Amino acid sequence: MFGYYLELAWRRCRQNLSMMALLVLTMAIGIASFMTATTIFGALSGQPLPGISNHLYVATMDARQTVDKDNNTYDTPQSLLNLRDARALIDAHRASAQFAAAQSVTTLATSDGKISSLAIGLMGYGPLMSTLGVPLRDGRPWTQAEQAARAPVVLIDSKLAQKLFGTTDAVGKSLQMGSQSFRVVGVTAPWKSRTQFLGLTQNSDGPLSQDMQFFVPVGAALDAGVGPISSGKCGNKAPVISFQSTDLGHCRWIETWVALDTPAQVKAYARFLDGYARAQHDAGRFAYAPHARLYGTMAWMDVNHVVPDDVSLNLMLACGFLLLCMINVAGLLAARFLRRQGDVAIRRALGAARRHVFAQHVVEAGLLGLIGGLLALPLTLLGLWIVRMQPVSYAAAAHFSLGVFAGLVALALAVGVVVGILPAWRVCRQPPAIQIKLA
Amino acid sequence: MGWRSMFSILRRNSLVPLLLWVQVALACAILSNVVFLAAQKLEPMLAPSGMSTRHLILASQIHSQGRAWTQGEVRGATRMLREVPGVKAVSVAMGVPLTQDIIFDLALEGSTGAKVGVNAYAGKGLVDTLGLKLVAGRDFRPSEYRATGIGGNFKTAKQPVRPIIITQALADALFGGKAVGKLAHNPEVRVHQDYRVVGVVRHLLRNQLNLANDGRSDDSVLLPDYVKSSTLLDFAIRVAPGTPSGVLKQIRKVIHDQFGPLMGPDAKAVVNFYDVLRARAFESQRDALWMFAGIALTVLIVTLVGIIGLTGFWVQKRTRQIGIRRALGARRGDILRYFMAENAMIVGAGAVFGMLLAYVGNHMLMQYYELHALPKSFLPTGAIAMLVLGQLAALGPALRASRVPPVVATRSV
Repeated sequence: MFGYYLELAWRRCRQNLSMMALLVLTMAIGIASFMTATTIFGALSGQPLPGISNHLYVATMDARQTVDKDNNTYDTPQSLLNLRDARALIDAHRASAQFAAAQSVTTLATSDGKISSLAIGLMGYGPLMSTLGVPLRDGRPWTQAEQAARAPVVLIDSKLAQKLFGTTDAVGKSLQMGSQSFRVVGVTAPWKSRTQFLGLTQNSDGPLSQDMQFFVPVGAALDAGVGPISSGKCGNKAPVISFQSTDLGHCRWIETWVALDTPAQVKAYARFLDGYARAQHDAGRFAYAPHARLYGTMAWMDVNHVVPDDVSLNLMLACGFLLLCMINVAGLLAARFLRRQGDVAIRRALGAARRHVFAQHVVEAGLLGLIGGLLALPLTLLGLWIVRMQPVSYAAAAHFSLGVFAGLVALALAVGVVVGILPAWRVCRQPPAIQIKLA
Repeated sequence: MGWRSMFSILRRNSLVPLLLWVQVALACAILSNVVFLAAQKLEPMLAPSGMSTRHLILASQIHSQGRAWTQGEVRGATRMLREVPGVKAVSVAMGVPLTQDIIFDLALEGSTGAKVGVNAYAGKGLVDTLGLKLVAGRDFRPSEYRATGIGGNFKTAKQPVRPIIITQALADALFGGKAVGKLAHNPEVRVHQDYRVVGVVRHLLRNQLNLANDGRSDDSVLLPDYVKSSTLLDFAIRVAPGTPSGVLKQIRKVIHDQFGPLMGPDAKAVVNFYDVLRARAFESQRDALWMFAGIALTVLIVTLVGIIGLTGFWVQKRTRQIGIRRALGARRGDILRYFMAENAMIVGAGAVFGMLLAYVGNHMLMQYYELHALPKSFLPTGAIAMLVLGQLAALGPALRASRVPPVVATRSV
């Protein structure tokens, strides 16, 4: 029966080509604009490190050590901590894994200084590499002992190794970073998260993350005069120099992330964090009640508006537009179906049940939807290409993938069927006798 | 035929008018929001700069690594720039229009009690170099300037009351008109700074262009600071009319020679004519405008097609009734008017609902995004567009209906 309905639908489509083209084109434009907007939205939302960031939580608290008369309130959660607090939290080992990290931009050079490169990387404390799942190609992460001894060791990614040393086999080589020579102990594969989630409050470069080109223990980096991108929030007495400063004693600039697997662990850690912060407040180090709180990765990205407002706004517009197209097509389909009321009446009189008539029309609508989907494919590609041409921070997110294609086909079919239901229902509700009389 | 019978016909055949109604409402809501978003992007592009921009060159992102540039280096570079043939005036500045490498923002409160967040530009002789039009008061006196800079090594003299030059828009907002000689202060407790207005310029475009909407484009001031020693510098350079464009190359060379060595291998100063920088600064805005125009146009076309299709179908379905009416004495004009009026009724109802939808939708979006409230004046734009569109779309089918001969009443369709 289904095949017969398809054939009928196909024949009818060919009968009135211009009408069909209009229907299909309207659907295609609606679907394409929706797919373009969803693709970008999908690329910017979702877990930044699938399977890993799901278990990561960032510690936030009001860790100000001096009273700030003009800003007594604590409305936005602060993830930046003083290095001393970050260290204390890591060294307590209360989560299954934990690390502290801050982004840094610095020049790395070969020992002879002939080749140099400005690189962005992470300064870390604790088992940063294994917790984030950074893939190692060679060598090893820094050890606990090296971290404690502030040994000048560094890991670089294979691209940077290639650029500096002409080979990815760079373990054991030395490079110059800040005022000191660092030994390369490991080479990582190029690594970045899907979207930014570390150091969101310090880096406003847009939602997409860059390759992290080096990883260095924070103590050794500071010793060499390599500081974080921004010194973050400093106390009133601190000098106000923000870029790449290493005079950070008064400042809150590093984030603490912990991996927690079960809700019970999250609860227990939240209690521990709260206890730690309160103890600091009671001891007089924190000037305010600390409001310590853990944020899951996604919640943290929400708080910090990682998905730019115009992306979500475009998605809303595209949703509205798709709805408009669907209503439009529903209207045109209703007109198309109702024009054939005479045929339907004869079929009904000859014994076709209402559900048969209904099924036939829904199949026809579904077919139109699919054709619309096919047409929407090149339109979606065009839309994504246009977005990639834009000078926006998320342009690189506009990429077509198999998932997008599957979504598009499903959407097209669903749109066709949903849009066909109302007109099909309308047409099969008609009592046959009146229709035959009219015809 | 009266409105009542028209209404009863609509009620009996409700599906098609209902779809038309929903479609118009949705299109109207989308359209007024899109037009509003577009207007928001357009506003900074239409805002007057206040400067004489034709012979103005701006240099920015001159950023040193390691240490700040000394007073000697800054002065030397300024002198060499003045010696380039064709250059009329040079100002070292902290912050220049169109670039956001240095954002100098402060809050001001005047006698009206309004608090306004403004962008400040600092630098010696900026009024002349930028070509600003003073409409009241005077420029800063040489004695009023004090040293400034980022990361420079100098002491800043404390001035309890600082002279300031504001724009006419700010004079109106802060003092309700005449401003020269009046006092404004920074309402932030931490700062404790008073300002005395010494001059008012007609316009001056702020450098935070993303804030240059909602009538805030002129919220900028000039401060009497000269750049003494800093890690970050801007220049405003005025050249004489008729200077060959090769002057840009020479200026770039001077800046490169003077500042290049300390800037590091990856940093690059941006030096160009105002118009070029302006085109670049507004690039994303322009693209967004194209996008909004595209959306608006597609919404209009889709709606037009929808209305034509549905009205056409409806006319066809009622051919017999039209024939009967014609046979009973209705003139062609009557039929035409009837269908146009019917369209106006459905579309009008849709537009009214659409305005409501646009308003509610905007307020819902505002809870989640940094969005401005849709001004009520934007609501009718979508509604009027829909009414005009509806009448245009209905014209064809209505004309076809009016040409139905009375004789069809006697035969079946």
